[in-house]
Formats: sequence, structure tokens, C-alpha cells
Amino acid sequence: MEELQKAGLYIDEIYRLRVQDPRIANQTIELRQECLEYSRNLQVFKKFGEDFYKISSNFAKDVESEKLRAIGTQNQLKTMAKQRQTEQQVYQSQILEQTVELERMKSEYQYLQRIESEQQEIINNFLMNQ
Amino acid sequence: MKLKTRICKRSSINTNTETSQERSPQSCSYPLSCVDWSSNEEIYFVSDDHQIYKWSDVSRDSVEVAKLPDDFIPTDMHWLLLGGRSSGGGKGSDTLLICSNDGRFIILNKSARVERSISAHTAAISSGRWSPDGAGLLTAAEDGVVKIWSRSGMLRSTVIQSDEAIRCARWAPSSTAIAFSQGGHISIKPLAANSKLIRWRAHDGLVLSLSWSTQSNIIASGGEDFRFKIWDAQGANLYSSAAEEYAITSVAFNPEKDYLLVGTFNMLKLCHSTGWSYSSARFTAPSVGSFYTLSWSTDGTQVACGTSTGQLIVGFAVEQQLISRNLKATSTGRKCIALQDIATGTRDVLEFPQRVINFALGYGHLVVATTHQLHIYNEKYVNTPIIIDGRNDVRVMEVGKKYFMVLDASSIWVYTYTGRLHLNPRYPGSQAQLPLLNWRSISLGLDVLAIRDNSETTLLHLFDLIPGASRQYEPHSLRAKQQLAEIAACRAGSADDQFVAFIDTNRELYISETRNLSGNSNAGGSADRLANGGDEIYKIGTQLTSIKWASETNILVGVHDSCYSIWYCPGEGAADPTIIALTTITLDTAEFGKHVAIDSFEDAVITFRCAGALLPINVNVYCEVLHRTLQEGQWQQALRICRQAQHTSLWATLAAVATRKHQLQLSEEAYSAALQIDKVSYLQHLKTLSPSSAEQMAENSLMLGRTLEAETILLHNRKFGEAVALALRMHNWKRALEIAQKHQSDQSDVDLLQRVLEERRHYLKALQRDEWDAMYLRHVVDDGNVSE
Repeated sequence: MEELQKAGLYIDEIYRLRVQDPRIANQTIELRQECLEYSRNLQVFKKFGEDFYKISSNFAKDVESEKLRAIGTQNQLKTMAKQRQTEQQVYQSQILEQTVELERMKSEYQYLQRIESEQQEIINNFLMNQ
Repeated sequence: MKLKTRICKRSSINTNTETSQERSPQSCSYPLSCVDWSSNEEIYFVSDDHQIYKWSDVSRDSVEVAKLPDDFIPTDMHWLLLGGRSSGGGKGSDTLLICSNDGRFIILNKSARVERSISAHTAAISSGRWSPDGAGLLTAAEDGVVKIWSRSGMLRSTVIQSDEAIRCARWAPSSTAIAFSQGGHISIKPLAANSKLIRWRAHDGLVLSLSWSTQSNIIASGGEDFRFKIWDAQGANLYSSAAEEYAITSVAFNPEKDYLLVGTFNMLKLCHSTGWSYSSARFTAPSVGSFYTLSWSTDGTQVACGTSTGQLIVGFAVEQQLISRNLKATSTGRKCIALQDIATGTRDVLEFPQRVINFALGYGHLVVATTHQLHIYNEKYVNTPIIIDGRNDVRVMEVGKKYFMVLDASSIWVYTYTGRLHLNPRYPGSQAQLPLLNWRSISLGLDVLAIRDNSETTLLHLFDLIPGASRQYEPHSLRAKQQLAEIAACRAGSADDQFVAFIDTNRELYISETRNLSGNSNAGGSADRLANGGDEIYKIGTQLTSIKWASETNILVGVHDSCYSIWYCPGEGAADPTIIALTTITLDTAEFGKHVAIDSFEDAVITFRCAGALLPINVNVYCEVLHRTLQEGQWQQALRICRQAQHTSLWATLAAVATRKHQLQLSEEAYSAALQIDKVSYLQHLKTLSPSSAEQMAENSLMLGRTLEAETILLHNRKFGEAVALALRMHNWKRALEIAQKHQSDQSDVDLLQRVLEERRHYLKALQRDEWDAMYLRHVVDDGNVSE
């Protein structure tokens, strides 16, 4: 055994001839397997990273648009007061127009009533004299 | 009334998509300040992109017409529309004037080819306008100079030279003056030699826009102080609006109707030409900016507006209302009118194949003028209108009891309601004056059409409408002493009692009969009438702004500055000032407000319009009924009405009519009731004369104030002695001598001449004067010779 060991040959447990110490060989195999495991894990991690990037960039986009919308709304809110003011002005002037029209109608009605009463008076007069 | 508007497509569809997409946002961003109508259907417009477009109402689309040079930035554009009529310098065709901001203007012909390009000013031209008579054009620029050019572009005169920039300039409708604005001032420069410039401060800010109304000769101005104001031609303020929200950038009077359109930021306001507003149209959803220019089409139905964002907007007025008795017509759209009958409770919507230009309502008929047709509706048969073809662009319409009158582009036409052409009146110069006629200078009565001559505004042409009269080319002419401003022929009465009232430029009211006195309405009369026209026109009022006759009776209403008057018997009583005084009632209009106008006078109800409100007023119903009974000749009925109502004006009316109709008994009673003692005693004297003798007829004519007629009656009946006596009574010495000399030989028994001379001697003795009249001097000398 020792001579064999000196010649660099080893015999393992099941009595096969080996050119390397079976323990070391076992360790190598283990190492290799662990390396493979590691690289697989790394792959997964990379995918995770990519996913994360995608999601976060999408999120950034969403945030950006939301931000713009928020700014828009904010501005709208600011101008709303003014808009309301102009709207109010429009309505106010419409009301004014309508009131003027109403006043016109009222005075017309008043004069028509006067005519009616005058005519009634004449009719009464006429009936009285008959 | 409202203004309906539509934003028009500016870029043409013909250009291929790529270029139009590139150009259209660009071109739209240019403000549009040059817009004008080339006909009633087509608008030309050009903005800073140098491209002249034509927008057509038919295709609702714009097409490119021509391209201006790249260095030519247009500032103003105006079409001269002659419609083939010759005026000023010979026969003309339509031409387009465009001004630039570097002091040039170009004249283009109908096919948009540049004919003349003239360098006129050293600064931007702010206004370039053709004169209304088409003889020339004015340019006003920011270098403070106004120049007038002939139609071909030759410099006629430099009217104004100043240091201040001129913002806007407009012609007077008569082409005899120019109004222009500098800063907050407006100036009027009459073009007559040695006439003074009128200048006044109009606005607190810049005056941005001016418009001079062809209808009522007033000026509107809009300024940066957010107000628009209305002025008369002397610069007196008639109206001043409340402050709007923004500066008034443009004002424009309608050429045919009494509207004023006012443009400001994002808003158009439709007003009456006296200032009160009908309604306003706002453009908030797509903001259009300020209205830089407003241009009405020549028929006055549509308006084109150019805005600061480059939009072209076309508007037209809807919900125009006409009311007559039980009928109400309302225009609901461009081609649609709703006719409502209150008496039957029906409402009919009338649709027309073409655009409605004008409509008139009255005497149970609705007459609608579309672009090429007339539709006549009877209130009883609304579904079957009578259609007349070939009346294009009707400008003025008036309905009468029997006929209606339309004034269109080619002539004046009088139709019956059955659609038959009754009269196509013509008078010397009528064709040339046609475009200048308006509703003030033309009036349709019951049996007469009165037209004021436009070249000689003291002259009135009266066309007899009674069937069978030789009337077409032989109007009576009536010559007033002053220039006439407004005329009105009476709308009722009988064929013998037709009157025409008119207001002259001094705002005095006159009245005259429309038929000549001897009753024969043909040629011979007109010469006589001119000769002695003076004593047939009677003045019955002063300081009148407008008048209107009643629809069924000859009662006249007139508006003064702060009151209104009703003449219950203006026609028959015109000759007698006391009758006029007794039958005229003047009432205060303070309760109505300012600027009262007469809207209608139907039956016994006058409707005034004041600041948009219709104010109906009842006139004396008894007087109205009295007129009706008198028209029918029911004298006893009339007497009963007077006795019941017991009113001086009624009695005076009855007296005037009765005297006119030779009802001596009746007029005596009426005069005595009206406390006219002198007239009563005169009538009693009349009754002593043998009935219907020449003397009585003559005396009756005298009673009516017709001395000439009285004399004619006497002379025709060979009562020369009485004729001379009449002339002597009137102190008409010359005429007395004339008659005496002429008929000396016919009258053998009495020496007329001696009688005249005898009277004259008495007269001179009473005056304690020597003879001064040349005609009598001769006889005095003769006498001297004889006595020697």
C-alpha cells in the first residue's frame, strides 16, 4: 500500500485502483457540485435582479406620471378659483341680462294692465249709459 | 334677439394633408384683422401669412385666392361693392383695397389680381376705406395723416396732417365727412372747404374702433376704458355703456337694420343702435380672443368676425320678433320663421329653401323675403303661401292695407297680397339713387307711395296707387322748404283723404294732402302743385324725432325729446291751427325713460320701445271709433259718439271732417261744442247763401283754408265780382287787380277796376301812405292824367 502510495496510486474502499487519493477526489467532486449549485443560485439571483429592475423602472414611470398628474391637479386647483370667478362672471352677466329682460317684460305687463283697465272702464261706461 | 355664431374652417381642404397640417396650426395663430364680404355669400380674409382666402357660405369652406408679397403685412381690407352700378368715376366693378403696415396699399380687382400698389404713408396704415358713394377711398395711418385717393389710386388731397397716430377712420354715410380717432379723442372733419374740425375727448383710454351708421347718421366708438359710446354727428354723447370686463376692440353698425355689434375679449354683444343690448354671445369653451374686426354683409343679415387667435366667426341674428295684433312672427333660424296666432292658438313653423333676409308683418299678412323670393302668407291660409320669384336681396319692406312694398337691388315694387305686381314706380334718377334709399325716405300709405328724392332732399315723389290712375311714370311732386329727414304716408282713411307727414332737418313736422285739390290726379296738376305748393303744406309740430300713423285711422303719433304727441285729426284739421291745437295731446315720456321710439301703432294702441321694453299705450278710443265711423260716412253715429264722450278734441275732429265734407249743420254743432264762436258765426253766414251755389262752395273752401280753390271756383262760375271781392278781403292786391283787368270786358255792369282802385285808396288812406306798388302806381298816374 505504501509502495503504491509512493508510486502515486491509491486503492479506494471498493478496491479499485486510483491515481488520486480518494478523499481528495471525493472533496473535488463535492466542490464541483457546490460550485454548480453556486452558479445556479447566481443565475436565479440575476433573474431576480433583472425583475427587480424592471419592476422598479415601471414603478418609476408610474410615479413620474402620477407626479405630473399631481402637479397638473395642483395647478388646476390653483386656477380653479380663477375659473370659477370667470364662470361666476359669465353667470352674473347672464343673470343681469335676464333681469333686464324681466324688467322689460314687467313694464310691458304693467302697461298692458293699464290698457286693460282703461278698456274695462270704457266698457263699463258704455254699459251704464245704455 | 340673439346672435347665433359659427366658427368657420379656415384652411382649405384642397391642400394636401401634409402641408396643411404643417401650416394650419401656424396660420391659425396669426391674428385675423382683415375680413370683409365680397357678396352676401362670400367672405375674403387675409392675415399675416399673406394668403388671401375666400370663405363661401354655400360650401362652408375656404379656398385660397391669391398670395400677397412676403413683405406685405395686411392691416385693413375693404371691398367696394358697386354691383354693376355706375357711380363717381364711371361704370365700376367690385374692387378690393388692402393696406399694409409699411404705409402701402394695394387695389385688387374681382379676380384678386393686384392692379395698383401705392406707397402712401410713412407708417402703418390703420384704416383704408372706400367712400360710400364709391368715388374714392381714404387711408389713415399712424403717422397722423389722412389722405383721400381717387378710385384708381390718384392722390386727391391730404385731409389731416398731425403728429398723433390715427387708430381708426371712417367715412360719413354721405361721403362728405370723415371721422377718425387719435388717442382718446374722436374728430370729425367735414370735407367741404373752410369747414371746421370737430374734436372731442371720447374715452379715458385709446379709442380702438369707430363705426358710422348709414341708417341713423350716428357714430359708435369702442375704447380701452371698457366702454362703448354712441355720438351724434356733432359729437354730442347719446349713449355711454357700463364698463365691460375687457377693452372694446371693435364696433360695427348694421348697414340695413338698427343693430350695433360690439366685440370685446371672447364676447360679442348685439345691441340696438341706441345702445341698449339685446343679448351677448360668449366664446369660453374654445377661447377665441379679442374680436379685431367685425364686418356686416351688405344685406345686413350676417356678420363676419376676425379674432386675435385667427378664428373666422360668422354670426347672424335670430329670434327677431314682429308683432301685429293677434300675430307674432319670430325668426328661429336662418331659414325658419315661427308664426304664432294668439286668437286661434296656433303656431306654425315656416321653412324656407333659402336664407331669410327680411320679413314684414301687418294687416293679417306675413311677407318674407328670402335671397331670391318673396313668400306671402295670409293668416287664414298659412299653409299655402304665394311665392314671387326674382326679387333678390330685398332691403326694405313695408306692408299696407291693400298693398305691400319691397325695395330690392333693382327697383321698388308694389304688390297686392295676391302676388300681382301693382306698380313699379320710377322717377327721374330713381335707378341711380336706389342704393341710397332707406326706410326713412320711403313710405307706403293706403293709396299712395311716397319717396323722398335723394339728390334733392326737399323733393317728395307721390305715386297714386288707386287702380286705373296713370301713375307709373307720373308721380306728383311735392316740394318742401327744408330738407326732409323722415316721411310717413297715412295708412288708412278714404281715397279722398290721403295725407303725408314729414319731418325736415330742423325736426319740424309738416303735413300735406297727397292728391291735388281739384281732385284730378293727372299730369296737369303736378305743375300747379309745384307753383303753389307753399300754402298746402302745413306745419303742425316742432322738435319731432319720429312719427307714425295709426294702422286703421288717420291718427298720428310723434315722439319729441322728452314727450310724445298724438294728433287726433292731423289731416283734415291741418289747415286750421286752432283745430290742430285742440286735437293735439302732448304727454310726458319721463315715465318710459330716455330715447323713446315708436314700435307700432295698431288700431288704438301705440307701442313705444324704450331700452328694449315694449310699452303699449292706449289712445283715446272714442276718437279712434269716431274716425272709423266718419270714414264710413255715418254722421249720426259720429254725433252720438261725440255727445257721449263730450271731449273737445272729439268735437274738433268732427268739426274738421264735417266742414271738409260740406256737412254744414253738423260742423256748426261741432264747432259750437268745441267753443269756436268765430267759426260758428261764419258757418251761419255760409248757410244764408244759397245751397251748393258757387258762392257757398267758395266760402266753404275758404273755411278749409284753400283760398286758391275758392278763387278758382268763383272764376270758373264767372263770378268775377265775387272773386275780386275775395282777393280784396284777403288783401291780395296784386291778384285783385289782375282779375279785375283780365275780366273787365266780361263784366259790363260793374266797373271792377274802379272798385279795386277805390278799395286801394281806402287802404292807403287808412295806412296813411302813398302808393308804392308798381302795378298800382301805373293806375295812379293814369288817374292823374284823366283828372287833368
